[in-house]
Amino acid sequence: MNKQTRAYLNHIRLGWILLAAGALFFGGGVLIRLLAGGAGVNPKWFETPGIFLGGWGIILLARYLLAGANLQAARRLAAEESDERSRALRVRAGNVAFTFWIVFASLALVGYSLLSMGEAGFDELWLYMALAVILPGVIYTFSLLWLNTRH
Amino acid sequence: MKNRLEELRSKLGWTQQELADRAGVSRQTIISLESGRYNPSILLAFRLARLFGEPIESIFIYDEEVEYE
Repeated sequence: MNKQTRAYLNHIRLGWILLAAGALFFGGGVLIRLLAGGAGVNPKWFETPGIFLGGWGIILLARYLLAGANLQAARRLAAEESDERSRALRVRAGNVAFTFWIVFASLALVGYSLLSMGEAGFDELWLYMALAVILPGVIYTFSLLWLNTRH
Repeated sequence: MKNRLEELRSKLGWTQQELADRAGVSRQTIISLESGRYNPSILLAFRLARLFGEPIESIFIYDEEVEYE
């Protein structure tokens, strides 16, 4: 089995896993809604990820199973997924998005602090906004450290 | 970095898609390589060199003056 066929089969497997996880989450949400009447637990906490995961799985399966009918198309799809230029472009796009996010979140945090005339300190929104600035930076730093030990 | 990919591919009568299929990359990558917009990794350069049966340095021509401009 070559690298492209393995990648192709892995995507189909991932599609089924996501679809099954989505069905489980969504089914769980519906059960909570029906049986418990939503008492204590919001069923949407299960249904929403269920729809997201299931949708992701369906997209993967549709893409790869349809291509699978034609071996050449399946190989090209796998080649495109592992294509080094596409990967490099995705990394660069991710960096742009990360930079944009940090700038946007920082400005929003500063703006919110200024608008509340310095009274915003530890209210819930301010904490979430601070987390939105700090957390990506922490993940970025630790990812760099981890990647440095691996490469 | 200049390269002779288009010339070598044409000599063999391959389309860009055929070369992409043989090298295991997308056709867009071959287009970008041929137009000089993208430089391949060392692994892809080796794979292309093997496909054409030529040494890497005869396909990819490194011009130090241009690279450091």
